[in-house]
This record gives sequence, structure tokens and C-alpha cells, in this order.
Amino acid sequence: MREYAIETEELTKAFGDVRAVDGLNLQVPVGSIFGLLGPNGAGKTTTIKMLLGLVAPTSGSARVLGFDVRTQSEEIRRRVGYLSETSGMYGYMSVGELLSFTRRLYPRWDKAVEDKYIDLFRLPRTRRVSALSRGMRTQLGLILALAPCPELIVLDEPTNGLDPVGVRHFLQVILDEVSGSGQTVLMSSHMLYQVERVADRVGLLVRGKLLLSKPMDQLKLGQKKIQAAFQVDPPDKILKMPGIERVDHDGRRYVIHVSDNVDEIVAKLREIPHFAVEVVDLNLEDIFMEYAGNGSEPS
Amino acid sequence: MISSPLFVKELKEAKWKIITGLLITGITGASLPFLVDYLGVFVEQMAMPEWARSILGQQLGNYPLYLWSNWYGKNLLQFSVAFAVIIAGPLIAGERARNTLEFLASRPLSRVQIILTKAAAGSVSLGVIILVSTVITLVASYAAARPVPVAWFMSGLLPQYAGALVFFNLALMLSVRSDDGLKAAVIAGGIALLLFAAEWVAPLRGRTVISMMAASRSFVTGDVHFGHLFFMLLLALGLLWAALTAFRQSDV
Repeated sequence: MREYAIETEELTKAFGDVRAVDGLNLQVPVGSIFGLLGPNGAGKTTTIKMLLGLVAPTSGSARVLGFDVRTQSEEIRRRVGYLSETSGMYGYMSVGELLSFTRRLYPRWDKAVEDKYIDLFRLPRTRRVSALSRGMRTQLGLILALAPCPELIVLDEPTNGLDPVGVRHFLQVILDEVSGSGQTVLMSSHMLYQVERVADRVGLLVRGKLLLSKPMDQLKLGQKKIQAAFQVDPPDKILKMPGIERVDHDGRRYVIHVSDNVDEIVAKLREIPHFAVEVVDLNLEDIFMEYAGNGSEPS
Repeated sequence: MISSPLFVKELKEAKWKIITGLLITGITGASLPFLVDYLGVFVEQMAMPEWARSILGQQLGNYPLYLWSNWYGKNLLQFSVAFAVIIAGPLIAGERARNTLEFLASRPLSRVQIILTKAAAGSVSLGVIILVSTVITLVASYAAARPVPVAWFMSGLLPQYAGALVFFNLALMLSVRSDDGLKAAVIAGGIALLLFAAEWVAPLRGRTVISMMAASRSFVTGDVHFGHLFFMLLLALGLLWAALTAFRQSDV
């Protein structure tokens, strides 16, 4: 039994002097919903394209569902459902024609899934794709990604352009479809609240480098911010305790960013004469800003 | 190797090009047998240099020569080259321009399959235009009570099609490297024009793909010049291989 649906090792893509993806070591466990976060231009789309064999890596290696991305990309695409915000569809075809064309390219196709979501989204089979709204095109793209019975579903910024109701609906479909199915989902986004809603693991990509990759609950439990106002300068050895990521201060007002060992650190800080020592929980957006904002690598 | 859904899609996309090609080449071919008498009168009455009158008179006085040189040496030659680059130019560049290449390449199709299927569908479209219009020309010739030997006349098709495939694959190779189908077609068409012009340069006359397509030796003997045919097919395959290699190395 394979442990990881996606495994990369020092995966790198350079466009001239620019390294869009830089030594990426990513592991996505089978059956997980993995949120690949990162600001625009972080290298998320390039990473996904390398995983599907659409872009050749400059160096490093990657295996998707056990297949090598350089030599077995067709096998990968046979088993992957892919939806990309940037990919176009044949606008001159009707919805039915596009479904029929795509269906015949796959060895397996679940017509029941196709029919179920065509009805749910109320997509008219006879309407031309070019006449669909952006939201309807995304819904059609989702059907094209789900119907081939994929082992891995890859969604690249899938909800761009959807209204809040559309986003909620979209995410619910993903959750409904993959829950209990054993399918793995890799979803890239810069919309943090969406990833927070569905993902059980997250990776943060900034300037082509993976700054962290953790289970969501572990990330949110471990990542804290301690705000403190001391009466005296705190000793250096306390500020360098294991688990402390970064220390910002203005005079004796301190903001201490911790990723682990929170209780022990707070206890030590409270031994110092202080006005206040307060632990603040971080949501995914705060954590994202912690890393993406300064681009530092976690210790 | 060939993906049948993609092949059908390509034929559907080429539908209007095939219809337009058949209309233009078919009407041109069908009119040739009926125009020969009018052209005879025209040559007699028009003021023109004596050498031109002599060449035209020679053609018009020999109907098989007239038909071959006007069809394989002029009309079909120009149309088959034009439609070859018009069909092949947008095959990959057009997908890129309308942002559908990623959609196609992210399906379970290899790059080899995509190129070979597109090349096959385009070659069939081109072949239909060339074959059907030639048959129309032959039928019109009989309808005008100017019969020509069928096997002899049809022997001009093979070199014509092989040469058209050279320009088709040239345009396909340019298409792989471009995001503008028109640009790829225009560049390939420009190269064809240079080869047409080269026929006016004495040392090159009879040595280009253009003259091999006209197959003047087949006119004389009724045999296919297999050396020329082999050369053109080899060149077409080489260009297809170059297109394939470039596509396999390109990022989508």
C-alpha cells in the first residue's frame, strides 16, 4: 500500500535565471485533502504542471500515484482529475459534446457522477460552452475532473471568479465526493479561508520554496503568538527557548511567535516581572502571513 | 497511436476548411475542360509577345498537356500548398491561442498521440480536397467530351499529395513553436512562395519540391517518379519528426 499520492524530491523548475520552484520536497499522503497555499507567483501552478507532466522539471524528481512524472505522465493523467482556473475549454462545443469528447479519452468514466452533477448544477447540455457563465464553466470543469473516477483530484485555484455561494457549493461538492472514497485531493489556492474549510493538511509555498507542510490541526494548535509587556528586559536564554520562531519588540512590549512548546514558554515568561502575558491563537491567515510575510523558513 | 475522439474532433474543426477547399478547387477543376475553347479565342485575339502566344498555343492545341499543366502544374499545385499551410498552421498554435492546449494535454494523451492524431486528421482533410477535386476535374473533362486516360491522369495525384504533405508538416512544425496559427501558416506559405520563385532561376528549375509536385515526367510517361516521391515523403517525415520533437520538449 502506497503511503503518499505525491512525493517530490528537490523538484526544481527554472525559467532562465528565475527559479519558479526551488528544491521542492513535498509529500501528500494518500486520502488526504492537501491545501497548497501561497501568494500569486509562488510556484503553485508550475508545481502542479510538473506533477501532471505538462512542464518538464529542470532537476529533481517526482512521483505521482507511484508513477514518475518524467517518463510516465500519461499513466498519471489517466488517474488524475484536473481542474485549472487558467485552462480553457472548447467554446464552440456544447456542454454535451465536451462531456462526450472528454469521456472517450478516459478508460473509466462514471456516467452516474456526470449525470448527478449536471442535474445538481443545472447545466444545460445543449448550451455552448462559450455561452456559459464563469461559474458554470467552473462547475463543468469540476464534473470533468470528478467523472473519470480519479485516484487523485488536482484543483489549481479552482474557485477564482466564483461568488461566495458558488465557492461554498463547490467546496461542499469536493467534501461530499471524496469523503470515504479514499481519493486524494491537492488544492492550490491563495484563498486561505477556503483551504481552511476543506483541507486536513497544508503546505505553504513562497517564492518556489516549501516553507512548511503540516496537518492542519497540528499547525493551528502549534502556531501561537504571545503578546507580553515586561517590567524588566527578559533574559536572552528565555527568548531563545526551543519552539520560539521569532521575537519582535518595541521597548519592553514583546510579540513572540511560537510553533511548539507553548505552555513551557509561557510559564517561563510569567516568571519575569510583567504587566501582561497573553497567548493569542492564530488562524490560517495569521500563520500564512507569519511565513509569507517575511518569507522565513521555519526552524 | 491515434486517438479516435481527438481525430474526430480535428475533422469537425476542419470541416469548413474542407468545404471551402472543395468548393474552390472543385469549381476551378470543373471549369478547366470548358474553358479551353474560350482560351483559344482569347489567345488569338489578345495582343501578347510571340513567345507567350507560342507556349499558350502549344498547350491549347494539346488538351492532355493543357489539363495537366493547368491542374497539376498550376491550379491544384497552388491550392494544395495553400490549403496545406492553412490547415496545419493552427493545429497546435491555435490550441495555444484559444487557451485549450492545457485542457488537451492534461488528458490521458501522450504528446506523440496529440501530434500524430492532429497530423493524421489534417492530412486526411488535405487528401480529401486534393482527391475529390481531381476526380471532379476528371469527370468534368468527360462531361465536356474531352476524355483523358484515367490511370494516366490520376498518376499525378501521388506527387501532388506528397509535396503538399511537405508544406503541411513544415507549417505544423512552425505551429508547435508558435502561439499564432496565422503566423505559422504565413511563414510556411512564404517559404513555399520562395520555392515557386526559385522555379524562375535556371539552376534551380526542376529541382525544387514545387517542380516535383507538378510531375512533368509523369505527364510524359504516365509513370510515377518514385525517386521524387520518396524524397518528398522523406522530407515530410523529417519535418513531422522535427514537429514531434519540438512538441515533446515544450512546456504547456
